[in-house]
Amino acid sequence: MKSAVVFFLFAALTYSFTTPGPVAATFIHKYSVAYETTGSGYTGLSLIRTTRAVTGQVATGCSFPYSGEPVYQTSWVMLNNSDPSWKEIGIGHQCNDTFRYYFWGYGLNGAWFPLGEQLGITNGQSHSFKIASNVLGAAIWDRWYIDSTVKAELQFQVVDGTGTEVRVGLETYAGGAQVLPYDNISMKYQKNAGGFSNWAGQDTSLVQSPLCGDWGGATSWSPGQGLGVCN
Amino acid sequence: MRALRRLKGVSILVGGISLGLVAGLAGVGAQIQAVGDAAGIRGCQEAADRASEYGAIYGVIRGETTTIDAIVRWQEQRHPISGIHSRLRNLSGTAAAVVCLYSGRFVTPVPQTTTGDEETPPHDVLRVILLPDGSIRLDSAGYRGRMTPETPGEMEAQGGS
Repeated sequence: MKSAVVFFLFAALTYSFTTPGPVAATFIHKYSVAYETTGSGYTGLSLIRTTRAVTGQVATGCSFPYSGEPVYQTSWVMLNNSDPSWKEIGIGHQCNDTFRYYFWGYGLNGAWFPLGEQLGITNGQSHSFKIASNVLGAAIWDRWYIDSTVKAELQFQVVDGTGTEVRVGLETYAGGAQVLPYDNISMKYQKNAGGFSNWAGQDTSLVQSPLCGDWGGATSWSPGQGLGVCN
Repeated sequence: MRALRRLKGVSILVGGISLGLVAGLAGVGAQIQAVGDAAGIRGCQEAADRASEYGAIYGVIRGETTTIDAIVRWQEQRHPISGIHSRLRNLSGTAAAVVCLYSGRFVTPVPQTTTGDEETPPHDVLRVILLPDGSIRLDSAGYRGRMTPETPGEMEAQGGS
């Protein structure tokens, strides 16, 4: 009798501490990324990206950007890789994909500093995303664009001209989500605040399970999640 | 009598498990020693539920009561970057606000820094502003010890304007 009571108590406690609630999902932090890495001096990038629907995402993070279990369709200009500093522009999906937004900002020493968001965007649309450095007199201004609209502008006084590479891809914190492969096309880079050039050579890529990714050519990268393969 | 002994044994077992859990949780909490002013830390503790939208919160690292003016100056001047316009500029500059730093595991954007299938560490510090109306506003997220100056007061102490 005594052993039966002890067994029951242990079973109940084990169940209560190991069984997830109805909205719990597995925490992950994974990427599907394409890189343009030839040489250095990267200051900008541009591409055309389709806002892709996310399915199977838990309904959390329904009030603020960067919350819940987000999926980011995004792109980075890396200014420093080891203690990362970067410029970023992308699309966020949260709350079972009912909370969507464009976002832009920068990173210093690994920390993320958002500069702005545009809420209420629509899946299935394609827009151009660009980060560019422009010489204006004696100053170099960094600008974040969606289509032809300047979303933010500022001056990095120290790190400009030292960019190590540009990246395009998918970053996910949503363990159970699925993202059909989507297009990032017309991918270009900018060096030393000059003109833009097409990505070339399919330099390198990194795809972490359960994501996938596929080069559609030197200037096109198609990432996805939860589908095995992307091509 | 036998039944009483059984009940006593079960009580000891449950009590032991409960004490173990409480001690374990207390141990996690004990690793975080919040710094700042008492009112600021208390405000951050009370706002922790709302801040947990951004991820799992383990505790308050820092809470500093200051003014909107001081926060605007700090946000615009803390980095070697010109042209930053704080999103708090439209608020009354003399109003009091709190800068809160939480430890935890957050879901903010960060570039991949690992190779192979190894997971890039998520941000482990969340910094939010607790506004006069009680709402919170994300400032930034990063890694412990790498977000200096952490507060307007720290920037002033370092000789910033």
